[in-house]
Amino acid sequence: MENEKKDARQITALLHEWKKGKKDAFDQLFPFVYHELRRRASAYLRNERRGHTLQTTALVNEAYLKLVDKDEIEWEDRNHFFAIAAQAMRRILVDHARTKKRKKRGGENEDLPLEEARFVSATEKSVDLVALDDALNELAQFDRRQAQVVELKYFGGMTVDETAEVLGISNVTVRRDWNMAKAWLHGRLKG
Amino acid sequence: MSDDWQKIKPIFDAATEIPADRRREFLERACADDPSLRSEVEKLLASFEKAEDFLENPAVGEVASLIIQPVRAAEKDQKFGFYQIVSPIGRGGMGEVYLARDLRLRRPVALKFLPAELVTDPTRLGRFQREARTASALNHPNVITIYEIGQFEDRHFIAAEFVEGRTLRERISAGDLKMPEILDIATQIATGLAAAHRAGIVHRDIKPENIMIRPDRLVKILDFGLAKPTEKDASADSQSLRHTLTNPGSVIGTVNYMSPEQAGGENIDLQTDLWSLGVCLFEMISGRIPFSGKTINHTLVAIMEKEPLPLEMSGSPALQEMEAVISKLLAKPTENRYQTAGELLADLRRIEKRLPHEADDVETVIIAKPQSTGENVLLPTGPTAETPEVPHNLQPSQTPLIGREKEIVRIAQLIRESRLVTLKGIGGTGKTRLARETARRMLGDFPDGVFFIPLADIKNPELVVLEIARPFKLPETGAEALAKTLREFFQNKKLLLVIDNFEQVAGAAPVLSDLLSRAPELKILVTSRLLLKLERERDFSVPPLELPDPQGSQSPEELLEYASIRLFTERARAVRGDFRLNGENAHRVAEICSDLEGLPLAIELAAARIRILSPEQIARRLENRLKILTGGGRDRPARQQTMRGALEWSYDLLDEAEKNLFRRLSVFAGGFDLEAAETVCASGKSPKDQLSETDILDAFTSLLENSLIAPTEFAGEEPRFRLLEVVREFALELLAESGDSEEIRKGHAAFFLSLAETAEPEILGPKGREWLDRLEEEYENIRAVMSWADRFDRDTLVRMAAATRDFWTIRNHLTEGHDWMEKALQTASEDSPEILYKISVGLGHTAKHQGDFDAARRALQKALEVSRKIGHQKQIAVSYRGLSMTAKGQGDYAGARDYAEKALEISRQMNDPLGIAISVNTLGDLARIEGDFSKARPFHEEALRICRELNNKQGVNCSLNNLGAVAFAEGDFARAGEFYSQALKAGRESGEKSTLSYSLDGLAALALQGGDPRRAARLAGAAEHLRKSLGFKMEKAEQIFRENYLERLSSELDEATLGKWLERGENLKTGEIFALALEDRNSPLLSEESGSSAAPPD
Repeated sequence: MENEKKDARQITALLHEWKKGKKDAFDQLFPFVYHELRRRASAYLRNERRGHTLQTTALVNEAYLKLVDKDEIEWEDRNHFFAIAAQAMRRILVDHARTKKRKKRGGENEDLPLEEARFVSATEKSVDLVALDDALNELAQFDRRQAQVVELKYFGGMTVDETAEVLGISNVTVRRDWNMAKAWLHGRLKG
Repeated sequence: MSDDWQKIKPIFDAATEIPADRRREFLERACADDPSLRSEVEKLLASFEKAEDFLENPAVGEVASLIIQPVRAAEKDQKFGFYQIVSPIGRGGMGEVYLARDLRLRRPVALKFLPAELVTDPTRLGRFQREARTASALNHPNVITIYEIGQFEDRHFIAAEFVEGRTLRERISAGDLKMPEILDIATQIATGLAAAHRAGIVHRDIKPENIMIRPDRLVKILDFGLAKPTEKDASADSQSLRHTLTNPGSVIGTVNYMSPEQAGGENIDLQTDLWSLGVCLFEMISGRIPFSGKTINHTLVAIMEKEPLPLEMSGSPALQEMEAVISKLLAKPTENRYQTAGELLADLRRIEKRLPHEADDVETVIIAKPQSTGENVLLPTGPTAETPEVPHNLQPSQTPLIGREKEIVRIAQLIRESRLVTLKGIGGTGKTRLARETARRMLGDFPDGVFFIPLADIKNPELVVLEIARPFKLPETGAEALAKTLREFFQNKKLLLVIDNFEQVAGAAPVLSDLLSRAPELKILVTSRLLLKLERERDFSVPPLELPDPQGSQSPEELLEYASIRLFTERARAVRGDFRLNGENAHRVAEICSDLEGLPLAIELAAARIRILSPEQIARRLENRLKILTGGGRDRPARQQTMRGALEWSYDLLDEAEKNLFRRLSVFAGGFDLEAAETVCASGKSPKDQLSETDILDAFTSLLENSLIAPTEFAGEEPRFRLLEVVREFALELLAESGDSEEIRKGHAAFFLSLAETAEPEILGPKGREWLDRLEEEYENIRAVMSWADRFDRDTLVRMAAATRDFWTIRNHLTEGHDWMEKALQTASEDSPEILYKISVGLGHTAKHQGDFDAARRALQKALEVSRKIGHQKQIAVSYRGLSMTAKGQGDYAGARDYAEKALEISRQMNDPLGIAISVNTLGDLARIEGDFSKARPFHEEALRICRELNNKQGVNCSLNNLGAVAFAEGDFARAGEFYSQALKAGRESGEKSTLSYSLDGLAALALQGGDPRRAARLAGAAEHLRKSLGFKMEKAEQIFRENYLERLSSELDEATLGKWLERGENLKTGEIFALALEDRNSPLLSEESGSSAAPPD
């Protein structure tokens, strides 16, 4: 319990620092968020029943409540946190997809827990997350904001409104960015 | 690319915002001079159109649904044990849910499979099952009933009541909820929650999707299986937070009904459910939710910080009050909310009374609701928070009671006005159900409890006293002494006894009037076919169910207003799910109910046949049967004639195997399980009447379907069944006529003899409790076997008595056990010393416990003599120990020591640890009685060590107390305090109450020693009260101990003060006793309560 409290304080402080522009605050923060979300996502996927859509935002919100010090946190911090969380979700999902691909090629025999193995086999059927990740990196080269919108909306599971709030832009802008990025990514992956 | 991209962007945006068919024209203008730009945009637009829902579902969600898909779903008609899948339902919490059919009980169930992932994790599976079990223990009409937590091969499932109806979500969406109904729904939810909260279960996910409303308007809260037991331990705050957050499903789904503390990830308790109920109530009234935001986060913030949207209610004071209730439910700080669901219920009921009786109230006169009858009596529909911890033994009913609201109100009034009420009526009028339901609703009137005493299987009036004492586990010391104990026990108690089926023991009526005259607060509700004819008796003739006018031409809807029609319809639907009352069949159903004179049992028997017969066919056949009857001798009252006719009719429709089984089942007293039925009923006198196992199973299900057998509420593992009393009488007559009686009785006796002999060696072993429970469950059958064997089969009587000897003593059926064993001993042959020993020792124990030491000594000496003859060392030791305790009881301490030492010597030679422990404990007790504490200590220490090794909890607690007493006597008060507190805590954990009172005495003596006589007096009062409530007699050494400190106490406090504090102790509730006994003696609370005169403790 003591450790958790200490972590929460540290994480909140890091969020403040990152907001002030301190770049390496992000790097310190990321592992916490990544770890927490990964754990939660696995737990969900082990338990969710069919037909009940898992809400990433709910997941992220839980992680947020768990990680930050509620007495110290400010509203804007939440948006920053969500931005990090979306990135973390992206990395979690893409990492799993990559691991799975390696395994398919007869790579190292990692001892994945059952639920994570299933996690990956399923992603393969829908979208090639590894290719999407690469394409998204490419998109970020010439339109960073569009890439961010995709990250928040697709990986972070946010609505247009939520995305708009995190990025501090209008709903219309989010929708436009989304349409164009989606079109481009679709062309890249499926075209 | 970057440059191009910036050029493409505005054109692409604009193009997507105009209709597709005008895009070409637009691009021609926009990219007039730049073909490569145009081709880029065109390519992107083409992708845009193709993309459709590409990436539209969040990555995780898509992944999740794909993962879950391959999990095996159950197929239609697939069987899981006794359950056969009908169709998926798809609602509910964790896991897949199906409508299935219970093939054995022929009823629909909701079958919820646990996800395979959960099953592979034993810890979580265990947790889930534990919780489901907790929830299944709820047994409340407003909470969905969990029938079974089961497993078939590797599939784990929960079988629950299948609730037909609509969810509250559907009702809200339909937008037709009116105020009276809203109030009713809220009241029922609150009633269910109150029961759950009392059991320490918080639902945590109350929302309209989890509330079902049946067509009869009974409300059921679903998915309690996901509820977590309340976290009570404050130090577990963070633990519980983590628990909440890591619990999949806790944040998933909608956040609209979350409480602020849930939204903030804080610790959650029952107030969370009240908040969520507040949100539902708000939504039912306004169609909107009180807190919402653009995004989940906004909603969460609104919940935590904003005021709810205004409700805009105007008009009557009732509505204004409703608004106040809602704002109290939606108060942010939990301390401003209702503290319990019971408080809320009180407010809701008050509002209901004030509701203007508008036109639409007519449709809201609710079937299962006494409040709506508008009388001044306030009858909760179930045990509510207003009736906290009222002890009772009322079993929940398997089916809802239909109609009877007026009757319940009237009977309740009679009970309030008088002290003895008899519900009179022929068998099959539904007296028992009515009595039980009325009693349940009156729990609030009787703080000391409501107890149901079934007498159906008792023929001997002398046993009535024993039966009345049974639920209270009073010490038995013979029927006469017991009657006295009962009078004392009831003396100051506000208690209701419901005595069922009194007609056969009418001779025992004076017992009741005797009890009533000695216990001024006691009330008795009796069901009987005949009046008791006692002086202050008030009687109520149970009328049949309301019937429509047979000549009338009412619509099906109108007909459903009549309870008889509703009963028929409900029961018909239980056997044929698609049965509906409609224009075609309504008239026939009305005819059937009229022919059957509204007799509930007769209607049930007829309705059960709807599976194969149409209402028309039933009506015709019944009419014929009843005509024959009325044409015959009219020696019975007409209604009884009708009942008999319905029974004969139902019986005639059975096939030969079914008839055979039905007759034979009448041999069982007090119920049976399937195994017993299969074994006992297989063969009659004639070989051609042999029933195979399959025959029996088929016939059994048919009888169940046709309501000739009824399932009982089972506490054990196996479902149990019984014949209703009238049905059994009918079947017994038929059995006697068939000539199979003797064979079947023999089989019945053999079956229970075998059960008793299987249980015998287990009773003192680690599974003793389970076996004793099993025998207890078959108490009536055992009794029936004994009394049959007493007349026809002495050998069985003797063996039965030998096998059950410990059961009678341990379960405190002393008088009856003693009688049977005495009878058995008279015929037991000297040639079987083993049997002789067993019966003698059993007799010795029952006699000793009844305080008849001479008889005990004689019996035990006989046991000793027999066991010596065969040289059975262990039996010799047991006999010695019995003799030792008997001698101790008579004050012959030297003799007692001598016997105990002999027993100890044998036990040591045999290396029998339990024998050693009991022997040294006795020696320790004897040393303490004689004041030699240093001699006592090593004995008790050894007993403690052995009992700990054996994990014998009662032994450990007992030894701890004894060591406390030794330490106290030796002046080592700190150590004494430790022993007593340990014993008390262990007693609380194991639920072993018998030793608790001694710990309290010890702590009382210590409080006195520490200079706090008032605390001492309170503890002393609590100890005495506990003993009284258990009917527990003190051991000699403990008696001396108590007398000593009480004497000192009375020299320190004057009589009035002592009396006052003793009484305060007597009135403490169990929880308060522990708090008082274990609290830090330096705590300010205590010194304040103890008054200023108390000296500071040392």
